[in-house]
Amino acid sequence: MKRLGAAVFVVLIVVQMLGGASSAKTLSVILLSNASTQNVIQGMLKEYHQQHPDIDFEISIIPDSKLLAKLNTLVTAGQFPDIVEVTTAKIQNYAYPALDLAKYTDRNEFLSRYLPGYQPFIVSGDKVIGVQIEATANGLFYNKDLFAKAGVSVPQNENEIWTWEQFKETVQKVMKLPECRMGVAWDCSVQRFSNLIYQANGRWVSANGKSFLPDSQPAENALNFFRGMVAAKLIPTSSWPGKTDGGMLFKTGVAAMLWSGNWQLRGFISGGMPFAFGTTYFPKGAMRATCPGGEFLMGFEHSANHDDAAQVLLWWAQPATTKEYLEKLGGSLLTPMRNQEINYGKYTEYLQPMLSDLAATPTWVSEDLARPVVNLTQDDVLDELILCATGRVSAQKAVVDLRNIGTAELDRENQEVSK
Amino acid sequence: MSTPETISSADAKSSLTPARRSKWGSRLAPYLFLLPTVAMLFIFSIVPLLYGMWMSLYDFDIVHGRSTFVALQNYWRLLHDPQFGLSLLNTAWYTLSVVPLILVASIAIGVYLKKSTVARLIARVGFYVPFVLSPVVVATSWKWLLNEDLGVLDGFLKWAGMGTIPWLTDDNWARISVIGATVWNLVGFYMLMVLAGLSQINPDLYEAAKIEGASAWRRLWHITLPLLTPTMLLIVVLATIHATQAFETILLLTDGGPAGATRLIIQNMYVSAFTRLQPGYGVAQAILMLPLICLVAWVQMRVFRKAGAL
Repeated sequence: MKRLGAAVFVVLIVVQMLGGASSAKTLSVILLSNASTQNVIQGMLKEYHQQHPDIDFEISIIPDSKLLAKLNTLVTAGQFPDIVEVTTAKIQNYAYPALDLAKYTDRNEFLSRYLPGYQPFIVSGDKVIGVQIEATANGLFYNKDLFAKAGVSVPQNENEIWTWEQFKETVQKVMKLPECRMGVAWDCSVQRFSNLIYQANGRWVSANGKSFLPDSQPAENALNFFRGMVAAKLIPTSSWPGKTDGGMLFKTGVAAMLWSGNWQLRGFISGGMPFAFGTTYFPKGAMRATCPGGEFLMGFEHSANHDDAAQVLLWWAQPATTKEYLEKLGGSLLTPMRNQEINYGKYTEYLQPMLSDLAATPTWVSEDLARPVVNLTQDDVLDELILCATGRVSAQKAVVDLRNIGTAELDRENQEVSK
Repeated sequence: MSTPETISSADAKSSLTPARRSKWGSRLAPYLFLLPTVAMLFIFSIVPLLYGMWMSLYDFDIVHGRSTFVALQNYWRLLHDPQFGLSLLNTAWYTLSVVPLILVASIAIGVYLKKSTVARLIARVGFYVPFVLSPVVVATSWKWLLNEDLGVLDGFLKWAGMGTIPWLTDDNWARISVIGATVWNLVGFYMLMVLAGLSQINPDLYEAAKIEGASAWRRLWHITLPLLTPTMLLIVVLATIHATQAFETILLLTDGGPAGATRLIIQNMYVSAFTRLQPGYGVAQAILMLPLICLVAWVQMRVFRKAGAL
């Protein structure tokens, strides 16, 4: 009897194992915790599962601040996830272990689907390292009520775009109102400051990737303008150097403007704002520019199910899938794809100035932002920017220091490459 | 006649074996009991430590998927890294401020709240609540409280006709704010330890001292504090561990800023390993901290041994 019981048990185990082996493959997916997007992405993956019942997903959601620690631990341990969601700043860091989608599809045809301004983020040498699921652009918001009370208007079209000085004067005028306690709530980040470098026609890394801050003058101009804004208290100290989220400060209704990006729109509109707000064009320095960016899905060459992951990524890279995802989000995020009509719905009027800034931004800006060195040095660069913005070092000295920081990292990178 | 001999030798064998067995068993038993702990210590402490030492001799380049043996170069680089020096200094002042403040505050609160009246029980809960809050809640609350533009504290100072204080945006004020937030966060936990220590003190001692005419201060100085010494040792050791491991609250409150003024060694390691993607360099900092922490622990033990707490 005992033997019979044991035999039945063994048979059951074998059947279970065989059943398990023949059931759906499970791909491990890491998503960023984001109230706006995480559920929609999961919904899209469910849709893929319905279309391909042999593929299932095991999804972990982690905050962006913990992604690097998690991903680096997995990468160094050789336990690559099948699919991971990353932001602009991080995708190029993982170009080497990334799954090359060019092995699964026609590289040129694939890239031709995307706007030139977004292509640099997903290309590394000959490799195509990911799929851009949504596009972002930095943008300038203003408090309509405060502007109306101050009797000041914002540019209504591209011909009325402010210069930096006009922008500064306008903010000063609005700040004369007793209820306006802050000028421009400006996110304390390297990416948001980069706007000014590009508007000054400068760049972080030379076109050949060999030198950091190749042109001193544009960088000095940007730094001087910025520290002038901070010194005049037009940028609140709780933003720079206080690092309080600009969106939170703007929501209080006592800030004239917000220098942030289109990702704020969904929260502002669905959460309800206690005042009327609008968006306008970025001021121009030597030229007009914004910072393109977005979110991406990528796979890894050595993940357990990389072939299946590639198929999922290619599915998402179809224009119809990208469109469906963006429209499910309600239209607050931009499409990275060429010739794609998206119904931005209630966000249309807010996105219009940002799309205009984006169209005026040269492609090299994205190439510059996509350089790994810009991300790898961001903590040191931000510290130096804070020292300069708060008047503790001159713009000239800051440029020298920033160049040293970037050059050290580029040297390390070049050394590694040569080894 | 040989049979009895055989029998007796067999008896001898059978009588010796259990004795030997029990002797070996009693010798082995302590080691067997220790084995799980030693194994855990080996797997989770010794192996990672050795692995960390090995890692610190390499320059890992995650971006390009390479690792290069650089011997002691990471350590050499540390000696010339001003950010590392600053974070070491920051950790020193943070620990030297937080530990004594926690010790003094927890004893003061514990002694004051020793009697179990309703009001004091409520106050105990009030002091303990911050400890059970998540670091995110603690940091966010303090960040808004100390906000220079919209914060309650600066709002009050403005209302009172005084200037604002750059709580989080000036190097020194940011350090003070970080210390304040940490002490507020942890003091409730240590207060409980003090209360537990106080409950062990015989009330007759206070009664006798009172009869002898000793003032409250003298009773505190000559009875409470000496008898609380073992608790104080524990508080100092635990608070030092807390201080050297401080990370989340500071990261969320100041992000190590302004310009690195509140960046402690743990955050510096994190930035090196995970933001700059140089895990070898990050681990080298941890390895270098090891003798420093051992030194601090040794000094603490010496001081308390002299004071008779050990």
